[in-house]
Amino acid sequence: MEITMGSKRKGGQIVLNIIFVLLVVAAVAPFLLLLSSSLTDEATLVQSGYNFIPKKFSLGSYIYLLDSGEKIMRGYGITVFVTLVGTVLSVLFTIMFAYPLSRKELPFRYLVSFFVFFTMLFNGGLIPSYMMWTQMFHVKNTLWALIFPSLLMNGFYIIMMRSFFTASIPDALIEAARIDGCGEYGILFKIVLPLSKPMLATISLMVGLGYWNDWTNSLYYVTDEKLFSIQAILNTIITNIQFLTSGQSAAIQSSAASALPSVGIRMAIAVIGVIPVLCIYPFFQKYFVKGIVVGGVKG
Amino acid sequence: MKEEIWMRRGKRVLAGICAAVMAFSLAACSSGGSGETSGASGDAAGSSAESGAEIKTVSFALPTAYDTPDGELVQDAINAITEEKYGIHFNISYVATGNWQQQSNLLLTGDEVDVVALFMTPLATYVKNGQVADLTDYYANASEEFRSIWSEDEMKGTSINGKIYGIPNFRNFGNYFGLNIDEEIAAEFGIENGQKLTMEEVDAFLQEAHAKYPDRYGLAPQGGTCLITQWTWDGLGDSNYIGVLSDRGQTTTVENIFNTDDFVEFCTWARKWYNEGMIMQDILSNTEAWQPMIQNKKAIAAFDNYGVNAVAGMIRTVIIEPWSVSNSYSDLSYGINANSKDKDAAWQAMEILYTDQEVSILLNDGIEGTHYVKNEDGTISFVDGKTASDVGYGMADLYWITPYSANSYPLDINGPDFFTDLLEFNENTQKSQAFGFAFDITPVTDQYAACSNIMLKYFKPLLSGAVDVESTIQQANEELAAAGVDEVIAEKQRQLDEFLAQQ
Repeated sequence: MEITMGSKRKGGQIVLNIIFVLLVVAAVAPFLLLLSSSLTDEATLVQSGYNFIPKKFSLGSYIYLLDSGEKIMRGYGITVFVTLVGTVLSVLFTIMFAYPLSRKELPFRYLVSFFVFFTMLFNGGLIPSYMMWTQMFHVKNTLWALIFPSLLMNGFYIIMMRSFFTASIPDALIEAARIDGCGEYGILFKIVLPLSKPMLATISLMVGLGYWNDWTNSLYYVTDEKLFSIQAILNTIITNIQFLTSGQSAAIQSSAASALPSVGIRMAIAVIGVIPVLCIYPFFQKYFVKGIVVGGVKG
Repeated sequence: MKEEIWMRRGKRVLAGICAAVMAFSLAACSSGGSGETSGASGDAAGSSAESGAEIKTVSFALPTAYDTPDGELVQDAINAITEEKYGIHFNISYVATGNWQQQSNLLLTGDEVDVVALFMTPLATYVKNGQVADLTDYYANASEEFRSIWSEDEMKGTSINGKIYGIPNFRNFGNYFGLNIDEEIAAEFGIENGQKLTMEEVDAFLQEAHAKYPDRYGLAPQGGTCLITQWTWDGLGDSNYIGVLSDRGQTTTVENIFNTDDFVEFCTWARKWYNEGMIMQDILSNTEAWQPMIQNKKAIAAFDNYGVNAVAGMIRTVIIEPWSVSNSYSDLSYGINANSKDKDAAWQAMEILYTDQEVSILLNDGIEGTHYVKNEDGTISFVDGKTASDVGYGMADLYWITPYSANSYPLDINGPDFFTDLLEFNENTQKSQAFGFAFDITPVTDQYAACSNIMLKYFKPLLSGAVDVESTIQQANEELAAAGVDEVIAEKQRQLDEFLAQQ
């Protein structure tokens, strides 16, 4: 009896393992293809397409990126800056919003929660948002344009964090701290936040990824290419090529496309755009699942 | 009692937090506003016009396909001329073509821009949205020099209901349609630049060349995922081609494109070549540009539409004599933002862009010595063997974008007589019967939207050769009929008849 159970379980394990190996391959293969095509000689790439092992190894694309210097490096710098500053601000604001909402003493907290929830369902739309940000706050063509619009606050994160506070920080703990003479700031920073590390890590990672991968703010609020983030530069290159090769515009010919950055360079930019995320992710991973699961309770 | 105290204290904390958030965001915004002058160009324009003597600031936005890190240098050089000569200060924004549609529409929501390229959105739509100013009066009172650039007939190309909304820019308004061939292979087969070919001759050439170079594709996809998107049909300003004039626009009957002989014939050729392995089998998911495919010896030839410009590494042949579609002039023109605070200054800037040669040269070619060097024959070359994409200001390769490049120097690859050739080419180009007509979709919006989705599904695949022609067209027509294509075509015909009656 026991033996059959064991072998059954083993059989199930093998099937599961096979499924997961396949999933891993499906996730990793495109990355390898990306990496290898960025390391392939350009002419070879155009002639014989993508291969997992570069047919003719070349660092040409990366050398081009280093040579083209300023633009890519500045884009990279802007992305790093915006991600760091944006994530810190965003997490700080989210805590400051979510924590009071989690406290039963706050009057009208259901009403306020509803307002937050409402933004998850509806938003102002592109044109009104654009007019507000450019005409009232004058963020157009500034670094703030990459930090404030749409990414800074997210109703979903606030609700998630509020639920986490309500669900996993017992009132008794706060009470105890108060009795021991702790002030409100003390309770938040010394008691609640240290207990909320999984949540903070989860939200930081999600917000950080949001900032890192964002190109839409550059597209909407920045016309000065000097302020483009690395993702926006990549996106611009690709959409330029798409436009010039699509032959969409009736009277205009694509005289230009031959001098545009080639396949290998696009791949190389994508690689350097992905690497930092790959490096950071493992450190957050241990908190990640825990944070979402706990925060998701009683959404 | 105890709770009350806590509530009060809680309120105080909350108030403190709110104040901090507010203070922070205010600080951030104010520094954002003052940090970059270009961010508040509209305001700057107003204030400098009042205080700074007669110098008025005009914001000018145009598309570009290359990085223009030196755009500011060029802007300063232009301003050095225009401030003294005209009292106009330009604020130039170079917007990547890929971002143009989004950014130009956003720019037009306020007064951030004064003079703007009208591009990628049909002129009729700009006008219907009230985004652009009526220029009829300005044009009527413009200088002789400015008015002599375009004939009265040509100005009809950018007029809607008899009112001028845009000024055409200088480029080829019509196109030759032909086959571009790798220059080495063309030489081998004795085909010369500009030679006339029939489709049968194209087929014969492709068979021979492909047999000799079996590892290269016969045809590269000029339309991204299809062989070409334009041929002999005129969509009447409708890029989805729902209802077209066939035969190079030389009829006045609007037809379903799938029922026209021109279209079916081209698709049948494409299908034949696809089955023979002449075309990449995964053409429908292609992301490569066709030029590098030919230049890197991956393909032999590609269909193309072109004016008088050349492409490095290949020769051009002619299959269809040049003709221009009904919306050729309005496809890219320059207009004035309806929200512009100082339209008079904007118009003055417009005249400068079209008539001042020094400004035109700076805008089109950049700065001599920094971006280009002059050659003896009157052409220019990029400095130090650089290309348009890395020279810092590659607009010379984009002569078809800037307002009036005819006053500037042509690029070496295009030859010394390029701009005169282009003027002549435009004069000799046959215009569509519906020239100047623009289709207004409003009466049939729903049917049009439904048909557009079907066209997206079938149009390019048919022109790629990857699907069977007869059965696909039958299927597409069934779906189109259900979506109300007949109503769209009838409406288009009605508007066209009305337009022709007015002529």
